[in-house]
Amino acid sequence: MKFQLKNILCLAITLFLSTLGNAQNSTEELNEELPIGSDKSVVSGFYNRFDVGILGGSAASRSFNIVNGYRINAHWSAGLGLGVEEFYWNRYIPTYLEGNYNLLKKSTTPWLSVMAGYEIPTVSSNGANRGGFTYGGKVGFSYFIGKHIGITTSIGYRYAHLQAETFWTGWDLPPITTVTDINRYEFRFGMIFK
Amino acid sequence: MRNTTLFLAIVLLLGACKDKMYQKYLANVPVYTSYETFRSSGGFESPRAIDKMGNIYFKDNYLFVVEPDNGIHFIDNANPSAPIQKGFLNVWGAGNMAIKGNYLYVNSYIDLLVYDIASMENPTLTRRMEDVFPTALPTSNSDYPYAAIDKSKGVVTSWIVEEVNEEVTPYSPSYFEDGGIVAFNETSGAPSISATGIAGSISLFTIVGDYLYVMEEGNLLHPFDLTNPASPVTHERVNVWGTEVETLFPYQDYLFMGTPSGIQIFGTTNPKSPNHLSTFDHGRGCDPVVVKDDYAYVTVRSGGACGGVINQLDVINVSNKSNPTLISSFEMTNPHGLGIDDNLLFICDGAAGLKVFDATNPSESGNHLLYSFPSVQVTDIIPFNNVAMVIGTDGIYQYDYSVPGEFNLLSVISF
Repeated sequence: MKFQLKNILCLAITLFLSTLGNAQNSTEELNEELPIGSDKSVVSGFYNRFDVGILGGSAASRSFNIVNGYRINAHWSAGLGLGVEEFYWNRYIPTYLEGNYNLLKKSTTPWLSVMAGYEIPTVSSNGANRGGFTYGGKVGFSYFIGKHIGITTSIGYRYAHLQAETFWTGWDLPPITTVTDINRYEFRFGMIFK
Repeated sequence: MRNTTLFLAIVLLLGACKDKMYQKYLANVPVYTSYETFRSSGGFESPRAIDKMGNIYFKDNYLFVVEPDNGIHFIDNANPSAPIQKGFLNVWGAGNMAIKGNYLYVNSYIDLLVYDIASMENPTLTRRMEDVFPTALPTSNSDYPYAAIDKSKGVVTSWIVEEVNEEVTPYSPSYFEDGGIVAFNETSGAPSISATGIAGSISLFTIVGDYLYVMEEGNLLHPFDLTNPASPVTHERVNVWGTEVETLFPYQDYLFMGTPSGIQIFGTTNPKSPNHLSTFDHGRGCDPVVVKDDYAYVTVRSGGACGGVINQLDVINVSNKSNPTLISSFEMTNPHGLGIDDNLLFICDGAAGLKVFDATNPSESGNHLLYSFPSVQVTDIIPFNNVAMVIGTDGIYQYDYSVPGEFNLLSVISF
C-alpha cells in the first residue's frame, strides 16, 4: 500500500511540474503570433506533451502520458515521460526517456520518436509485481493551432517485459514467476505546449 | 493499388502484435519411458532389501509387500518367527495388489498385470491388460504442482522436480495441467481368508466374489470380472460421487470406501456396476475402514493430503447398509491403518505406536486398551490367525497374540 501511495504521489508531483512547464519556455524564436498551421521555422525550446492512447493487439488497454522535453535544434528534441498504463489487471507508471527527430524545421511537423524506460508497478492483482523494461518507437505529427499550443497524434509500437511473482497460500514453495511480453501497437492523440 | 498494399501491410503489422505470457515455477516434471521399454521390463528376481514401505497382503502363508513403483516382495511367512524373503517381482509402477486363487493382480502404472503364482518360486506373467488405468501416475513429491503430461512421449514412470517455463494464455492463465493422479495407496482385510487373500486396511484393490475392484482417480470404481481368473474382463467404471476414495474394504457383498469426509457403502448385487447404498459423514481426515459383525471401525486422522484436525476412532453400526449409525467415538493420536481379528482391534496410532483394544463390546472398544507399543511406528496391519503382521517406516514387525494377556514380538524385517 505504501508503495502504491508513493507512486501516486510521484505521479502527482510530476503532473504539477508539467503544468509549470507550460509557462513560457526559453526559446530562440517565435516572438510573433503564428497563424493556424504556421510553418514558421523553430530552433529550440521546452515543450510539454499530454496524450492519451490505446495500446492494442491481442489485447487492448489504455495509456496516458505526459512528456516534458526540450527541442534542442531544428530537428532534434528529447524528453522525460511519465504516465499511467494497464496490462492484464495491473497498473503501471511508465517512466521513460524519449528522443525525437522532427522532419521539418517547423513547429508543425511530422516526427519520428523512440522511447525506453521502466514500467513501475502500482496496483497488482497477483502478488509481488516487479514491473519491467519497456521500449518503443512511433511516427507522429504535431500541428500547432496557436503560438504555444498544438495537437499531436502518433502511431507506433510498444514492447514491455513485465515480471510478477505469485506466492502459494499456505505452502512453503518458491513463488510462481509470471513473465509477460507485451507487444502492442499504439495510437495516441494529445496536445502539445511550448 | 499502392494504398491497398499499404493498408494490408499495416493490418498485417498490427495483427502481429501479440502478447505472450510465461510462467516459471518449480514442479513435478514427468520423466517418460517408451511404451516398448516399459512393457518389456519386469520379471521375478532374487530377494532384495525392502526400500520403501507400501501395502501388505497375505495369502497361503505368504506375506507380500508392495514396494511403491518398483514391485512386490514375496516373503514365506509359514514360520512368522523366521520369515524368509523368497524373491522380488519386478513390476514397474506397482502400487496395489490382490490375489484370487493362483492369480495375482497388480497394477503397473497404466496396465493391469496378471501373474500365475501356482509356483511362488516362479510366478509367470499370463496377461497384461494395456491402458486399463490410463490416468495412473507414479508417486510424486506432493509438495509441488505438476507440469503438463504429453502421453505421446511414453509412460510417465517418474517425476523430477525442476523449474518449468511454460507459455500460458494471458487472459486465463492455467497454472497447471494435472494429468489426473491415481494414488493407488491405502486397505486391512477381514480375516475371512478363502480363495482370496487379505489386504491391509490401506488398499485400493479388493476382491468381492468374482470381481476385482480397483479405485482409480479417487472417484472411479473399476470392476474386473475374474470368472476366468487368468483373463480378467474389464467393465465400465462406476463414478463414486463425492470426495476422493482412499481405501477399499470388502465385507460380505459390500464395498466400504474410506474418503476424506466419511465412508461410502456400495452394494454389489450387480457386480459389474456396484450401486451406492449410503454415506456416513464425519469430520475431514484420512480414514481407513474395517468391518466385522456389522460394525465398521473407522480411524480418522488429520494431516497429509486429507487435511482436517480430527484424530479419532469411530464405531459405526452398519447392520442396515442403507443407514449406518454412529455408535461411539474415541480420541486417538494420529491413527493410520487398522485391523480386527476375533475381538481384538489393532490400530496403528501414529506417534503413539501400535495399540490393541478389546472389541468384545464394539461400542466400548476404544475404552479398553489392552496393549500399547509406543516405540513401534507403524502404518498398516494384517491380523490373522493369531499373528499381527505390521508394516512401518522402518520394517515389518510380527507379533503373536495367541496367548490371552500376552503380545509377543516374533520377528522384524528391517528396511
